[in-house]
Amino acid sequence: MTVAVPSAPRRTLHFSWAIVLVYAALIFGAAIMLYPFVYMISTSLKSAAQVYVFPPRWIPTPIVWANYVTAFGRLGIRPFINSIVFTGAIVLGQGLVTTMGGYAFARLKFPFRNALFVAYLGTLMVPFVVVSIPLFVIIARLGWQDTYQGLILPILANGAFGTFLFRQFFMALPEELADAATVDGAHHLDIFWRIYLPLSKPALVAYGVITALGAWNMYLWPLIVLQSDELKPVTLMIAQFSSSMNAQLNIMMASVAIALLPMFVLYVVGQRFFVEGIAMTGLKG
Amino acid sequence: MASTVAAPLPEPVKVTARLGRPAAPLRRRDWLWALFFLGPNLLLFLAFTLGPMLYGFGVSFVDWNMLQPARFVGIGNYVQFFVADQLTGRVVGNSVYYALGALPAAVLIPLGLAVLLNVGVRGTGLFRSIYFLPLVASVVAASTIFKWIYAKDFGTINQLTGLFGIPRQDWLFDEKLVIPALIVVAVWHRIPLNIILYLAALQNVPRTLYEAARIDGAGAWAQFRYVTWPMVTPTTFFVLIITVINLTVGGFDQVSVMTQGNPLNASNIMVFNIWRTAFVYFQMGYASAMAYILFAVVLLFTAVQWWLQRRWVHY
Repeated sequence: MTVAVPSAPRRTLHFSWAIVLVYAALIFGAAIMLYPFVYMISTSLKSAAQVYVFPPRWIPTPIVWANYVTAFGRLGIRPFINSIVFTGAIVLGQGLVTTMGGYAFARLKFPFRNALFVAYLGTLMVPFVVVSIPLFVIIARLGWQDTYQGLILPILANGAFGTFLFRQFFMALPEELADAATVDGAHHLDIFWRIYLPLSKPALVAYGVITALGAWNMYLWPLIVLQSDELKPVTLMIAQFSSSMNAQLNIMMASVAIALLPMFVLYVVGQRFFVEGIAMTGLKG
Repeated sequence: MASTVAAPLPEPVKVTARLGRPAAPLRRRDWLWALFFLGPNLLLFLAFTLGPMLYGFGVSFVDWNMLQPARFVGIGNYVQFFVADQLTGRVVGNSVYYALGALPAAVLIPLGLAVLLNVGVRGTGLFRSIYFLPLVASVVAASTIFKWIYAKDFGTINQLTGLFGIPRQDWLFDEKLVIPALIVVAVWHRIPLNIILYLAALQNVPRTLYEAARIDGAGAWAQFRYVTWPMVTPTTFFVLIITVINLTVGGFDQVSVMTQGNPLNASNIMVFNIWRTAFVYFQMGYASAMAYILFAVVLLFTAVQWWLQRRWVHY
């Protein structure tokens, strides 16, 4: 079932003051949730002189759209390419590896299956920061510091939870489907690719969206493994801007707005997948 | 748990029939297929998850800066954390303050908002979209924005508090205010996630229970207190634990962007301290030991959740 659509039947509240109270609370909540975004947009459109005025004016006069051009000029296209490469590799790689692994655990018999599965489960509770130290040592030994493969592979490998999720999901599919196909001569790749994956589309999309969100927003691992600006994703560049002293506030807020844009668009297009993905994963991490 | 996945309906599936291949040998070749399906996954898992986990545990027993050879120190790093390190008390205290300080608001506000969204008034969809909006912001982006909202001389928080006659504060540079300031951001960022978990739970509450309560004359509060609250208790436990774990383990991005642990370690929390010990001071052994202590805390929280769920949850 989906969370996105409230199944609550619209019932008319008998007391109008109750509705007024509900709306008052909803609007108050909305104001708080929107506050930082409004601040960001307002500041990103201010002139340099207006930024440091107290009390702050929320409506910029004049509106300086050029800040966005300046901000994009400073960021350049490179961080976006890096973020897209990183996010794309993680989503596709993890999607493939976790569904295949999930299928193996759900539908195949092989030695040490249960022991291996327990090992997977055992790593679920391990915070990434714990693994980050030995990972860094390993990546340094491989000479992969400051490379795409050093950035991508350890995160791609972070798929124990996805494997677990898809194993559960595939096990819930009726086994007769696979059996029937087997009788017709289909082998496991057929069953996986033509039956199980198509049936899992909603779960796949939800998992993909959450994985994309996590990768696009990831900070700790890129911070640890990357040194040169040419390889840094947007999120890391924003953090770097934020800590540099000479950053102009209006330009910085424009940069943040630009960095948010791709995930915002994804959210507008597929809000329900965000919601389903979170209900499905509890957004671990 | 509240995780319900959209259950797909089995549709008729066309599979190209391959005649003359009996099913029996296929079963025997299962492990070959397993190698094909699980192989890449397992390789990555061993090389970059399980391997590093065990390796890191080993590193926690040595003194090592990655330049000179590692020196075995036994439980020395753990002793240093619990006995010798002057910073331990401060850092642990900050972490507990940060996590537990954020917890009540990070659980109760989403519960309240989820209940409001579940009333089903006109415009609910719009409000829901607004409440979920922090999802699109990375912690880094949110922290960057809030860092300037908190600025002493031109930040908008001081404008807001000024309305109540509170003098301007230097939120992120004040030892007493810095953690509360971080907590506000953490709660703000956490709200959508917990709303979603609560909304899923609220929809599983049978409508008939509310109807029965109304027939018995229960008002809005009584319905919440005697129907909603007990029915969402399992979710509340789940939300409590997952939130406290995320706050304990997370928080790095926020501290890294907003304060770097300043002023005077007043906002230095465990994760940030581990990162700094490893990647600024290059005390890999000591950082690993602290990381494993953090892991132990996470395991403890999980154990508590299991235990509590057995004892207290009303089903």
